[in-house]
Amino acid sequence: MEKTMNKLIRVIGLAIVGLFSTLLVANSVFANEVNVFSARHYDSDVQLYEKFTAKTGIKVNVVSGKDKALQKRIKEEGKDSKADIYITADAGRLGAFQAEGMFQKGASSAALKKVVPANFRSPYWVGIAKRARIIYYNPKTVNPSWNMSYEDLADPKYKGRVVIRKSSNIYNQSLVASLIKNNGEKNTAAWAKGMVNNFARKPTGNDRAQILAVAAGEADWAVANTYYLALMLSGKKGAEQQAAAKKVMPFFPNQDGRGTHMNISGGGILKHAPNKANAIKLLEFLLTPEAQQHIVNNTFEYPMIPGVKANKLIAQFGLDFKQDLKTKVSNYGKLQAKALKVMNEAGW
Amino acid sequence: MIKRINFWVIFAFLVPLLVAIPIFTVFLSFFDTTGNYLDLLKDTFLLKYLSNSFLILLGVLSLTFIFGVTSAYFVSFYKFPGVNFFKWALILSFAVPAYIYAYSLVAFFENYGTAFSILTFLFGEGDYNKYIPKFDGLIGSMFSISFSLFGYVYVLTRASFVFQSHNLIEVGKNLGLSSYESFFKIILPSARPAIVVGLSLVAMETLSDFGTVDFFSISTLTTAIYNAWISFDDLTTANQLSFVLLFFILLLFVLENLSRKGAKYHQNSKGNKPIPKIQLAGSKSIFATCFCSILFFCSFVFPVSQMTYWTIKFPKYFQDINFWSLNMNTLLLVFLSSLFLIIFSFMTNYGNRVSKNKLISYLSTFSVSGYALPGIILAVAFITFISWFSDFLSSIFGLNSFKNVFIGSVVGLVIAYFVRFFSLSYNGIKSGYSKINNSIDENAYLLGYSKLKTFSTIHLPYLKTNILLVGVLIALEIIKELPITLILRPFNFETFATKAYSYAAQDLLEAAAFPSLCLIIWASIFILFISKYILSEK
Amino acid sequence: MNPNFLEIKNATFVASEKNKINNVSLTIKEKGEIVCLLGPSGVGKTTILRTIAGLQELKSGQINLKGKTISSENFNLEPEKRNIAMCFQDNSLFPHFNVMENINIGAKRKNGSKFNYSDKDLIKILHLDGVQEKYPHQISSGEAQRVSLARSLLSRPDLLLLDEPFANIDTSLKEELQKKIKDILKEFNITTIIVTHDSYEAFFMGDKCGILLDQSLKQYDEPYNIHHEPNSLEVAKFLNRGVFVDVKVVETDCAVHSLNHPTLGEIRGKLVNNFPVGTTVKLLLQPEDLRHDDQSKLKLEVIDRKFRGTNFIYTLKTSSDEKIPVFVHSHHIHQHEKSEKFGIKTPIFIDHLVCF
Repeated sequence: MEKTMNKLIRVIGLAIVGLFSTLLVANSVFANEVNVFSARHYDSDVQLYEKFTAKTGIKVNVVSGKDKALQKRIKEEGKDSKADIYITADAGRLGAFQAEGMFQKGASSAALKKVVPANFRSPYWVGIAKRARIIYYNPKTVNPSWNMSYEDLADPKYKGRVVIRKSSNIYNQSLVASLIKNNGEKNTAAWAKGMVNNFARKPTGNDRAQILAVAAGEADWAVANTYYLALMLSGKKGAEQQAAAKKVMPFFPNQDGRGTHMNISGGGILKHAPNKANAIKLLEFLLTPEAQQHIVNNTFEYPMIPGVKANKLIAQFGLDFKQDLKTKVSNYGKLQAKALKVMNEAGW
Repeated sequence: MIKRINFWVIFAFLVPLLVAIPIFTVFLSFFDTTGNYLDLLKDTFLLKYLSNSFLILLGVLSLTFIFGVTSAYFVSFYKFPGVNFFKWALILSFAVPAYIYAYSLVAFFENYGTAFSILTFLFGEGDYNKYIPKFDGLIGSMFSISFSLFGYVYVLTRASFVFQSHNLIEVGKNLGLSSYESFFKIILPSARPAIVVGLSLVAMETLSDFGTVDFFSISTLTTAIYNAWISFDDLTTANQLSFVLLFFILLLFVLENLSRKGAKYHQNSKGNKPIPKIQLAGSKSIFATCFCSILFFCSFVFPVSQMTYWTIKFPKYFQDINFWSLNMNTLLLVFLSSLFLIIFSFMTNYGNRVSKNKLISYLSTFSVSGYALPGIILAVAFITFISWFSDFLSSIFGLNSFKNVFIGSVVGLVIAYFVRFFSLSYNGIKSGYSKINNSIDENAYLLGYSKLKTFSTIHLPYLKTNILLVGVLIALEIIKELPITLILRPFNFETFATKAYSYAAQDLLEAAAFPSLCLIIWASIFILFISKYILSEK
Repeated sequence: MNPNFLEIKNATFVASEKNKINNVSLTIKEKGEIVCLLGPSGVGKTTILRTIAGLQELKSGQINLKGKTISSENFNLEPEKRNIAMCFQDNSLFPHFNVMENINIGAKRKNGSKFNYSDKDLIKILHLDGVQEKYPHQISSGEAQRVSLARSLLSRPDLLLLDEPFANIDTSLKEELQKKIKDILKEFNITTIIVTHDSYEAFFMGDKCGILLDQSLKQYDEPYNIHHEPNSLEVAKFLNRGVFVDVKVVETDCAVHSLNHPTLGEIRGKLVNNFPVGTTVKLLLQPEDLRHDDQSKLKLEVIDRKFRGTNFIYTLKTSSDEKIPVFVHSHHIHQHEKSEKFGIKTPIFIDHLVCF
C-alpha cells in the first residue's frame, strides 16, 4: 500500500523535473537567433529560414498562428516579448498593427529601399511578396472587354453570375478598402449592393472554391487572388483540379484606370525586438534574389524586387499588366472597418 | 474551526481558485475600454451571429440525439448482424475532431473534389459537379460537429440502457405495449437523465467550437467574441457577448446538474446482470445493421478514408513532416497535462470530501466552467492575466517579469489545458468518488489509517479504472485541442493539430491529411484502450 | 488512583438539529467491560458511537479514554489516533478488496491491544469459511456484518464499538454468535460498547446496560436491575411486556409489602420504590407474574389467546377493564377459549413490585 504512495510521489517528482527541463530547453538562450511570429503558414518559408541559418548561423525560431491572436500575444507580452519580426499576408494587417505602435522603424533598411517599390514599404514594415486580386471568368460563356473593372462586376447584367468569398475575409476587406479610397464610401456601398445582387450563391469557401465554381459552371465570374489558380495548375491539388483550372481564365481588371488591386505579404520589426540586428538581416535576406526565387516558386506570389521572374505558372497570365501603385496599401488598414461596414450593410 | 484547516482543505480551496482566475479575467478585464464594434454589430450582424449559434446548436442537438439514442437503443436491446462490432466501433467517432471532419467534408463535396474524382473514375469524364450536392457552411458545421460529438450521447445513453435492472422491452410487452410504444413510453424516459447529460456536453462543445465554424467562415457567438476582443479591442462588446454565451452555458449546466441528480434514482444498486438481448429478424434487422453501418461509415470511415486517400495520393507532403517530433510533442503535452490534472483533481476532490465546506464546493463547481469557455477565448484570457499579473508584481515588488515562463512555453500550455479540462477530470474523479460511501473512509480512520493513507490505500486502488478513463479522456481532448496550442506554444513547436491547421490555412488540405490521420490514429488507440471500460456491461 | 477506563461526562451528542441526546454521563471502570446501549431506533444511538469514535464532534461535555481526553467541546482527537474500532450497521466493507483482504486491512495497526486469534480462527468462529475469496458485493448482508466484525476484532482496538452487530444475522445463528463473540471479548478483555434495540441481546451481552429514551440516558445499570427495577415509567414501558394496573398501597412496614387491586385482591411482594400507605400507584404486571390455577376462585374472562410455541399468552379482562397478559405453559393439558373464565392462583406474590 505504501508502495503506491511512493510510486505516486516518484511520478510527481519525475513530472516536475520533466516539466522544468522542457521549460529550460524551451527558454534556453541561443546567443544568435531571431524570433519570428508568422501568420503565414507556408512550409516553404520555413525552408527559407533554414537557408538563412545555414548562411548566417543565426537560428530562426518560429511561431505561426492566427493573425489577430498572434498580435494579441505580442501586445500583451509587451516589452518582455521575444518576438523580433511579425510576418503576415495583407498590407491592411501590417498597417493596422503599425497604427497601434507595435512596430519600430528600421524594417526598410537602406539596402531594401533600393529594391522595394515605395508603395510596398514603410519605415515600419516591408513587403516580401506581392499578389493581385483579380477576376476569373469562364471563356466558354463570357468574354470581358479589355478595360473591365471591379466596379463593372456590380452591373445588373451579371445577375446571378458572380461568386466571391465572405466579407469576413481580409482580402475582400482590403479590396473594398481600396475601392472606398478611390470611389468614396457612398459609391462603394452602392457597388457592394450591386455585387450582392449578382451573387450566384451565398458566399462560401475560400478563393480556390470561387475559381472552381466558375470551372464547374456555377458562375461566370469569380474574384480571387492570383496564386490560387497557379496552385491548382501546378498539380499540387491533384489532376482533376489541374484540369478544372484550365477551364478558367484569369483577367486583370482596371487596366485603363488605376490598375489591378495589389496586396502584399510583409513583415515588420517589433517595438521590443530583442534581436533587431538579426531581424534586419533576415528581412534583407528574404528580399535577396535567391530567397525571392524560392518564394515565388513555392507560393506563386509575385516577386517584390526587380530581376526575379515570377513562376512560369503565374508568368503565363502575363506580367505586363498595370498594377495599382497609386492606391497606397497603407489605406487598406485605415479603411478596413469602413469596408467591413459597407459589405455588411449590403448583406455580403 | 481553525483546527479544520489542513493541507487537503487548502488544496481544495486553491486549485479551483487558480482555475477560476482566467474565467474571472475574461470578465474583469472588460470594464475599461469601449469600442465601436458593437454599433457595427448591432446594426448588421449581432442577430445573425446569435441565430447562427442557435441554429447550429439546434441542428447539432437534433442530429446527435437521433444518431446517439437510436444507435444506443439498437445496440443495447437487440441482436443483429454486426452488433458486437458496432458496439465499440461507434465510439471511434470521438477520434475525429470536428475541424478535421470539416476538412474531409469540404474536400469530398467541393467542385472537382474527391466525389468528382470517384465519379470520373467510375464512369469516365463527365460534368458531375452539378450532381454533387453542395451545402453551405451552416449545414457543414452542423454535420461536422454532430458526427464528431454524437459519441457522448451514444455512450451515456447506452450505459443507462445497459444498467437498467430489467429488460425494459420485456416489461413493456408485459404491460401490453407495442415496441413503438414501449420505446417512447418506457425506454426513452428511463434514459432521459443520461441523454440530457450527453446532450449538454454536446451543447457545450458546440458553443465553444471555433475551428469548424472558422473553417467554414460561419460567424457565431464565439467568433463574435473573438472578433470583438481581438480584432476590434472592443472589450465591452466582448464582455456582453461572453455573458450571452455564458448564460447559454450556465443554463446547460443547470440542466445537466438537475438531470444528474435524477440519474441517481435510475442507478441499479447491486448485482447487475446483463439483460438478455432480443434477436431481430428480417427487415428490422437489416434496418438496424444499415443504420449503424451508415453511422459508423459517416462518422469514422469517411474522414479516415479521405485523409488516407490524400496521404497516398500526395506522398510528397509526407516527407515534409518531422514525424518524430510531432509525436513527441503531442505525447509530452498529453502526459504532463493528464498527470497534473489527475493529481490535482484527486486532491481537490479529496479535500472537498474531508472538508465538507460549502464555499469550497461552490468554488469547485464554478471553476469547472472553464470547460465551457471556448479554448481560444481562454487562451487569450490566460495571456492577458499572466501579463497583467507579471506587470503588477514588477511594479509593486520589482520582480523580474515571468511572462516568458508562462507564455510561449510548455508550462503555459499545460496550465491552460489544466484550466480548460479541469472540469473533465474533476468530474470524472468525482463520479468515481461518489460511489465510495463516506462510511468507507470512516472505517479506514477507525482502523487506524491516516487521511493520506486512506487516500493511497483505499481511494487510489478503488478509483484506478476511473483514473485510467479520465486520463484517456484528457489525452483525447489534448490531442485534438487546437486554439490554445496555436496561441500559447513555444517557438518551433508543432503538434499534429497545429500542423494540420497550418496546412489547412494555406489551402493545402492534401498536406493536412497526414498529420490529421496521425491524430486520428493516436486518438483511436487511446479509445480502443479504454473501450472495454466505457462499454463495460458489469 | 487508577483512572476509569472510559468516562463520558455531561456529554451532549448531536445527531441532527432536532435529534440530540443531552447530558449523558457514563463510566466504564474496568478494561474488558461490555456495555449495551438500548433504545428505540432513531433515538441517536449511532450518533453516540460515532462521536466516541471521533467521527462526529462533541457538542458539549467530555469523553476520556484511559485517562486521556479524546473529545471535548473544543478538542477532537482524530479518529485514526484513538485506537477505537467500530462496526457499522451497514457494514461498509472496502468494495475493491475481497473478504480476506478486508479482514486483514486493520491488522497492521500499531500499538494495538493483545489479541491471539488469527484471521483464520475468526473465519472459522464466525462461519465465514468459503467466502474468503469473494468480494463484498458477492456475499449476503449477514456475512458482510460478520466480516466487518472480524475486521474490527483483528485491528485489536482499545475500545470496540458495535452498531447493531447482529441485526442482519439469522436467528438460528444469532445466539451462537452472541455467545462466541462474548467469549472472545471476555477472553481478551476487549472493552466494548454495543448499540442495539433488542433487549434480549442487550441483557445477554452487556455487563451493564444503558437505556436511551427521549433524548437522554434514562438508566445505566446491570441488566438484572434494569429488568426488575426500572427507574422510570418510560423505561419500564420501553422494556415491558406487561401492563400497568392501578393498585392501592396497603402495607409497607413489614418485610413483605402488600398492595390491593379491586379485582385481583391482595398482591404481595417487595416494593422497589417506596410509597406512603394509602396512595394509589401504577403496578407493572408482566405475563410471568400471575400463575394459572384452574382451582382458584379468582376467575377472569379470557378475551384473547396467542400461541407462542413454548407458551400461550392469555389476555384477561378485569372488572375495571384492564387487559392483563398471562403466560401458560404450552403443555398445559387443556386450553381456554375466548370468553371462558380463567383461574388465577392466589394469593398473588410478585418478587419485585415495580410501581410508579
